[in-house]
Amino acid sequence: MSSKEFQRNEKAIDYQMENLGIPTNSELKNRDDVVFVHEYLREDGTFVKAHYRSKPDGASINANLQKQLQRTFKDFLDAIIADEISLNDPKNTLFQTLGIFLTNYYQMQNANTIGADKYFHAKANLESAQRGIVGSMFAKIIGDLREGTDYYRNLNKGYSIQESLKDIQEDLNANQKGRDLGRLYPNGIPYDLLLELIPKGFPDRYKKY
Amino acid sequence: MAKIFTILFLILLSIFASLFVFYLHLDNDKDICLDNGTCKEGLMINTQYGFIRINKESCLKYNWFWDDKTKYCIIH
Repeated sequence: MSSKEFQRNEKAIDYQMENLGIPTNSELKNRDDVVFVHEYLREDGTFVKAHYRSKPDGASINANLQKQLQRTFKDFLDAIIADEISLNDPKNTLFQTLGIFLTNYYQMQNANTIGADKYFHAKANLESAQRGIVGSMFAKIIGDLREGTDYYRNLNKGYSIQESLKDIQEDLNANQKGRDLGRLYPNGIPYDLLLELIPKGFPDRYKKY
Repeated sequence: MAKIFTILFLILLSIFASLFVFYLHLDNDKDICLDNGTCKEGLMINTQYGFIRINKESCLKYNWFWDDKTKYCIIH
């Protein structure tokens, strides 16, 4: 380290020596989470001095894995609790599901955006499925009935059977995707889980909603 | 338990019977437009190009299909 570099970092070095201490090479060699990097030249010509850095497959990955496992376990427990609640009170779950579908229908009309229907289809199913297995079941019934009416409406509008079936199949796929995600992530935020269904020009007021 | 499910079934049936009539007879153009992209002339719709009023000019301008007979723009 040059004297200039030392002057610039003197305070930080003093602080570390007083409070944390500076490990020696032999101490660091025995640690699993730290790795020594020899000096090297980057492709862009920058010279990188030898240094120690934390090992990517060390403690940090274990900590992340542990967090992920905890989250998965919590989601699993929450899904069981939601199932229990919905099975105990199916009538309440039905009204909640109907409320969710009506709210999303109103939001879809209000967003008034071409292509946003898939997002709202999936969102209604996702939110219902987050209310347990009964919510998911009611969502499937409501979604299928709605697509059934759409099929006849399309035929009434002059669509061919193939066109009408193609249209409702896309909506049914969005419904299924929403229900699957709702069962997998009972605490997930619909907007984050369904980002790929957001069309261009989608109004900001419905983002993160 | 069977009584509850019968009531639930009847509630659902009545809701969807109403929706069915609503779709077939009241002919909600905006709903059809948002659902499958078949938009009637005169509707104001938000698209990737911003808010536009559906008419022949705007439909052809963005390379969508215009049905002159029914006055519908098919947006994909």
